[in-house]
This record gives sequence, structure tokens and C-alpha cells, in this order.
Amino acid sequence: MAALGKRKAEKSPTPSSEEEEEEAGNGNEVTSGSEELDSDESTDPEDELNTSSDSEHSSQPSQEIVDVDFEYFDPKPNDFHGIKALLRTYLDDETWDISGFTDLILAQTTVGTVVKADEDESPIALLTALNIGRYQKCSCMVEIHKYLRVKSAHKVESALLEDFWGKYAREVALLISERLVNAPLELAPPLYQGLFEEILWATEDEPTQELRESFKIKHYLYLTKVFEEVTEEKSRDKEQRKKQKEESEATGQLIYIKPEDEILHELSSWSFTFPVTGDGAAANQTKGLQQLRLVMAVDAKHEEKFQAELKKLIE
Amino acid sequence: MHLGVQFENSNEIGVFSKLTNAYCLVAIGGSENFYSTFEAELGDVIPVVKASIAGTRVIGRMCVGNKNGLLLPQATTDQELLHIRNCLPDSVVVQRVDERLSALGNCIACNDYVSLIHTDLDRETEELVADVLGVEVFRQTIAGNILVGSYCQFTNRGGLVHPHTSIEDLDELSSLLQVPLVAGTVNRGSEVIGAGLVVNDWTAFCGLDTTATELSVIESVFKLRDAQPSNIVNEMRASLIDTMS
Repeated sequence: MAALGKRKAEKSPTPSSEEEEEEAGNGNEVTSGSEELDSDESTDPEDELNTSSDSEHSSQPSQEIVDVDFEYFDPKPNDFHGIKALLRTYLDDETWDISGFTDLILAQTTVGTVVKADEDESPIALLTALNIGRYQKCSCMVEIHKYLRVKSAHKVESALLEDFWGKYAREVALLISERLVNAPLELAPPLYQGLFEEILWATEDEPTQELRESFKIKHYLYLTKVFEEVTEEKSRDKEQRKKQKEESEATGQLIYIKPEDEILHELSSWSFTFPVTGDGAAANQTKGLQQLRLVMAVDAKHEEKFQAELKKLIE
Repeated sequence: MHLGVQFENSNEIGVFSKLTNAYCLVAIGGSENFYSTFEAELGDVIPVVKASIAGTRVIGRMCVGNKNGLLLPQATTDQELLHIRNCLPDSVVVQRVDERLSALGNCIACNDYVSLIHTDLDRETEELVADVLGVEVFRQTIAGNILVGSYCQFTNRGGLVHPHTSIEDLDELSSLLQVPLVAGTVNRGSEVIGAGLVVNDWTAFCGLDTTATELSVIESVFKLRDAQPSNIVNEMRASLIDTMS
């Protein structure tokens, strides 16, 4: 962000919104998001640079607003690599059939949305729901089931999870919501609205009775990433930390990467967390934050309440 | 003969391995699956060696070699160099190169007779390539890209280049390299051929995402369908007469 300020100063006068704005094409739905860049990190010499050479243009020396338009599309075969990249850490460093999973998402054209800055760009966000009963036999779903079963092994929720893949499978949908870390919060409400509408339409429009039934979803199963605060003393004292891990699950405050996850967690019927394995874990330990995975089950009845809460969160 | 492989969920196997007619280098780490796929296919013909270069796993992009020699970047540690030298056949000359553009695998593409190099490579490096690898050296670009090692893969029998290569460029390169070339993709539309595919005269390995169409193109341009490992170079065999009788 500081670098952007610098570049602007060096170039001849062009309003920053012109370089950064991406025009909306004849897209389906368009959401304008405004991102505020704050150059808190910019040191004094940079500010001087800004004001001296660009004084007539930057009346706000410390904040610039960048206009970006995001468009919502159905997942298309071209999005394969982009969606695969978003799903790369879905099961941490487990080796599994991500390509097959991506193919399932692409094949389900009736339900599922991808957010891009432009039709030919890579996806920034993905939201879809896959009925567990319908796709149960696919190798990727089997692998996801195995992974979740292993991770929930000694927990109370393990039996509930097994039911979701067993007797309730046809009423449960796996909710998949992945996005780039700094994607704006404003993307979420239209995404979810779109999802619930598409599911409703699918219960009426799908060609066969079986498919129509498969979209009558009663529960959503959701796997997402969260952080947990680990206080300084705990992280330094390894032994004490190990003990506490064994005794209790959430020793600290949970920090949600996607803000709507907090609402979903509050509305969930049950949930559990487990620590992350792989590269992400080590990097975040030092900052006093531990990366966790959160699995939760949300009843479909809470759809409207969720959307209302989400709206409130944005405003 | 072609095989689909993955290294720790990544389809860019050309980053983690190097395959020539005389040896194969494989990165350490990941599951044993990666190594054992190569071992199973090549083990009884050529040595398959686990190695690291400069402590990294991206060995496919750091080094370049053929049956005559192997060039490693200056950052390769003595231990790694010794290990590789010990495991490779004696006929292969292993040499460290002091070159600013240290990702040799991205800058140089070669088979046993000809090589293409990055336009900004040093004169000394160019001479080393000619001496150690025993090849004729050409400075070229591929579809306007200077990283020739990334955007093409060729063997003594054929080659695959960046999909946006023009017909004129294809003809020019083909006449330089003296092998048939085709412009295509690997790993379901990826243009980075060097990362997605490793190939020698009788086997190819590519990422699991590679589609059937891409595979058939690879099989036909590299002439892998009836390929057999052989130490004797058979250019023109009397096979025509064999099949008729």
C-alpha cells in the first residue's frame, strides 16, 4: 500500500481511480466495492514526496479510494485452475483428488457462484453447495469424509458427523466458501443470497425428481479456517501449552477470517475445531495466533436470520 | 509410454524432477509415490536419484542436462554435488556453473544434440553448455518468451512448445533443432510445458490434470507409442520390411 502511494507520486498526474478501476462488462450482477487504502505504514519522507510533486491532486495525503467492480458468474470450465487454486488448502496438506472435486463443482451449473473482477480473470471467491448424498460415491467426497472422520476421532461430534454422511446424507449439503484473504466483505451478502435463491430454483427446475429432492437441503456442513489467540506466556511455555491443548479445545478467542463465519458459528447446531497441519501452522504460531480448522453444521431454517445478520454486519 | 504423476498435490512435476536418456533426478520429500513411480518405470534402465539443489526441491528448474552432462547452479552445495556425481553414470560430466541466471532449467532447454538458451546468458555459460552437454547452442525465444526452458520440452525425437508459438517460429525452431515440433499445452491448458512435463526418448511423465487430448499429442510428437529403451541409436531401421513380412 505504501508502494502504491510512491508510484502515484512519480507518475505524471493521473487520478488513481483510472488506473485501478476495472470496468464492468455486460456481466450478470455487479457489485461495486470501494477499498480504502490506508498508508499507515508510509513514513514521513514518502508523505513529503506525495504532497510536493502531486499537491494539486492528492488533497487526502493519507487515504486513497480505489474503485473495483466485481462480477458474479456461474462456474465455467475455464475457471478450473482458478477454483483449484482456491481449494488447494481445503484439506491442508493432505494428498487428495482436488481436480475431481473441482470438476464436481464445475459440473453443477445450477447451483454455485464464482466472483471475478472480469470474465477472463481468475476467480477471487467461490461459493457453492454440494449435496452429500448425491456425490457420496465420488472419490474426492470419500477422501473428505475420511479426513473429517480422522480429525473428529475423539470428539463428541464424531457421531453427529457420521450421521451426516450416513443416514442424513441426502438432506445435508457441503457448503464450500473460499476466497482470497483480502477480498472485501461486501461480496458476501449477494453471494449467499444467490446461493439460497439458486437452491430454491433448483428444487423446482431440475429435470428429475431425484435431483429436485437433492436440493431440499435441511443442513449445511461447513469447513472453514479460523485463528485462535494464543497468549504470549502460553506460546513460550511449550509444556504448559501441550497440557492445555489436551484439556480444553478453545483456550482462546476465535478470530474468523471470513466475517460471516462468526454469524454461521453462532447459528450452528454443533461444531468442533482441530489444529492445522502443514506450512500454514508454523508461520502463524509466532504471531500469537494459532491456525485452526472449524467444522460446523448449520440448520437450513436459519437462512433468513443469517442473511439479516450479515446485512447488519456490513452496515 | 506415458504416466500421470503428482508431487504433493502439485501437477507441476517438471519442477520437481529432471529426466534424460541416461539418468533421472527426483526431489526429496512429498510422498514416496512420486519417487516410486519413476523408479518403477525407469529403475532397471537408468539410475533414479533423489537429490536437492541448494537445499531446494525445485531441482527440475535449477539444473539442465542430457546424456553427456549435467549443469548445476553455483548455489549447489558440495555435498549435493558429490552425491549427484556419485550416483550418476561415469560418462555423465557434472559441473557447477557460475551464472547470474541461476535457474538453469528455466533458461536452457536441450536434447542430446542441440540446445536453446536464454538470450541474456553469459558467453562463458554458453561455452560450458556446448562443452559439458556436447550440444550446438542457439539463443532463441519461444513465442516471445526468453525463458526457453520453461516453455518447451524436446527430446531427440520431437518437441512440444508454448501454445502461442506462430507457424513461422515453429518452422524455424524445427529446422534448428532438427526434430518435429508441435505447439500445445499440458496439465489441462497450462502453457508452462517445462513445468508440467518431463520426457526422454522412450517415456514421458506429466501432471495428473493432463487431458486425454494433450496426452495423445504428447505421445505422437515424442513418438512414444512404440518406443523402447535402447542404447543403440536406430535412426532408420529395417522395420518397414519387418512389418510387411
